[in-house]
Amino acid sequence: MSWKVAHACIRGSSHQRSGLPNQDAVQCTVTPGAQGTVAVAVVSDGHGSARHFRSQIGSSLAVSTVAATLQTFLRESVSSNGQVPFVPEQVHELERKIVSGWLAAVQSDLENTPFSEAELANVEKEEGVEGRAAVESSPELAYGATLLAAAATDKVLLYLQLGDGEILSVSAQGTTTRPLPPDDRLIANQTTSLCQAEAWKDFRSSWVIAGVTAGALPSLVLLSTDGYANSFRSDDDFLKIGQDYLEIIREQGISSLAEELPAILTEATQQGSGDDITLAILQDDLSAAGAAKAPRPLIPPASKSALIEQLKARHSSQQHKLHELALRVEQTRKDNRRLRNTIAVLVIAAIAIVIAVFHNRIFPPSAARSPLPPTLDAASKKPPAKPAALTHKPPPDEWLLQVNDKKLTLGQDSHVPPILIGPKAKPAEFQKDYAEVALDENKAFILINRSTDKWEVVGTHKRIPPGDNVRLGEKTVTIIFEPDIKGTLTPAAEASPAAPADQPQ
Amino acid sequence: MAVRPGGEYAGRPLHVIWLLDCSGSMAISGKIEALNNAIREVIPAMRKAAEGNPEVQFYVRVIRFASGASWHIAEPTLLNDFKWVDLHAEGETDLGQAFALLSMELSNMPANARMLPPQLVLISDGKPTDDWKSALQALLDVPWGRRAVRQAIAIGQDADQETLRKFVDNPEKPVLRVDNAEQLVRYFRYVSTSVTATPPGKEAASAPVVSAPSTDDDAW
Repeated sequence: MSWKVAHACIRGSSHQRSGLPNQDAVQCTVTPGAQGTVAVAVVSDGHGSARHFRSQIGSSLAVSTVAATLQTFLRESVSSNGQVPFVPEQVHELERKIVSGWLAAVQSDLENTPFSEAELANVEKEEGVEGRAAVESSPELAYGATLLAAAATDKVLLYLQLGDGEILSVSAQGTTTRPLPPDDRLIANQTTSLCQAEAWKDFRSSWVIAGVTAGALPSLVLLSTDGYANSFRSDDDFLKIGQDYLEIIREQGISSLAEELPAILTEATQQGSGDDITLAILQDDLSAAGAAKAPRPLIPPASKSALIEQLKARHSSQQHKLHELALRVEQTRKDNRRLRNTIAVLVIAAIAIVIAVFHNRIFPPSAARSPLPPTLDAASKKPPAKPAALTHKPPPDEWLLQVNDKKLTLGQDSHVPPILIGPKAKPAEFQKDYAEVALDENKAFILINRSTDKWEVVGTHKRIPPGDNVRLGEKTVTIIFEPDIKGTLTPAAEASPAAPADQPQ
Repeated sequence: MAVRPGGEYAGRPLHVIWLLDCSGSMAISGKIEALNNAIREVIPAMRKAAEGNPEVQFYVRVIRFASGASWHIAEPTLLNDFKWVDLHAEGETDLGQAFALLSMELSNMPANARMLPPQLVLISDGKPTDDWKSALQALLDVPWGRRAVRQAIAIGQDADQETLRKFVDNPEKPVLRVDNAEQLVRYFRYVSTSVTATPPGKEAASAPVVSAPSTDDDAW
């Protein structure tokens, strides 16, 4: 048995238009040795969004470091072990080693070429200050990429995956299956990645040992970035590639196919996803050449380790669910606490209101401000009371607007109805009020022109077009709203010179 | 020889769903007419922007909410087939029901990697009159609801910007306030073409702890 490889990696049609580079990378090696041939195929997809701005470097660092690591791993484990070349703990250790190897390569790239201000400024432009801060605190984010790998000897085939993309195994009969469990975190343009904290925890892995966990190794292994599967109308349309590639290779040989691969994948990106596409093919030369002689799968004599692996996978997915449940419980607790606090505040507020009401009855207010929203004061109505004896005069927060004989007290968020100005006064489109009091960004009170009229401030002759505003302060402001309609805005405290007669002094 | 392994190719779908306020207040000051006119201008602009992305299939759908909520355009419609039927304004502002209708739809969408994150655009001129908070939480709990690109436009001074902000739930995407028909067209076109011109790129998933929904402390 010997392995052959073919691969192609093409830039996506949408990347060509937008000027994005090809962010995929691939590396395949077949090396003969004393213990047989070792074949390795590694594929990586650099993420496309702005914060991953060096992902094309990240993906190429991934394939070069991982290909070397896998070669060594497989060669050492095959020579040192007997029938079972490695145990799960060794694979987990390998996964950690892969991540730390990639991080070290990223670190050295960063030391050679630190981030430029232009790179960081672009992240900030596209993803805001948070995006920039994220990259500055975890520079490896800029290099974010996925990883798909298959490594094989004549007895063993190991699959590893972190993030999206597809690994398919094709039997001698053309049956196409996924050797790795699905990862339900991979939806909506998100993926797990080499650039995440503790990335090794998100690896999916499995292995086949000929004559132990399965009768025979598959005839073909296909590794592809998600741009390929996303180019097909449905999952079945995609899975059909397994049988089709097997037939093509049997008819014309893998090296002839290798020449056609770029054209095949280019057509796929143009009529499909628009994304970069990479495909790597590992072919078991003997079984692909002679389908008729392909051995029927044997009942594995000792599939214990496979069973253990399955149970472990199930266990880890249950743990993941438990973790999610725990998070939800925590969230609900938080909500409850918040609700409790709100109720407490409401109760205190209610008590405060009651106290305030009684306080007013027992000690008539000497420095009361109207807590009510502004009302259209008829001329006969009493103006608000004046603060009695204050050592510090606070800046005014209420004004009396007088237009002819009509008066209106204005405070924060007060609205001036058109009728106050006159029958002709018209609010601007989508407005029902003529003017509005608000706080500007300096916390100063302003009167916003919500009408179609162009106002003029008397004295300064400043023009206030619709949408613009007048600053309200301690001085009285007179505004010409319409050619013959003038209004004066006086701080409420000054506008009420005498305390009402029925207020005890 | 032209080989083509696999079945049929197809572009990736991106669903755009508009939630439009048709409450009685939209009938005042020509707001509903302005919205109808804006949509007639926005669709051709979206088509033009989408030409730059032939690999993405943009589908548009519309939910109207007033007294209750319903699909104004229920069928996911390709931009080229989109025809606008005018909305009429009357009734309450049952935004919560609109959120519920949307959650149901999004939870029925397949959880596959082919589909690009949907874009949800909410346009309103008032305060919700029903229980919108729990409906919004349910919407944000649906995976496609959480991952959607959510944007909002507030029409006029009476729009409840706080509610719209909670829907958007993203400090990088402010609620846009419009005060006249011309601004409405401009902002609506900006929001709509931003996604047809540049569909979102792939990113590393945030860790589960980070993506826990609604951590703002001023809720309730």
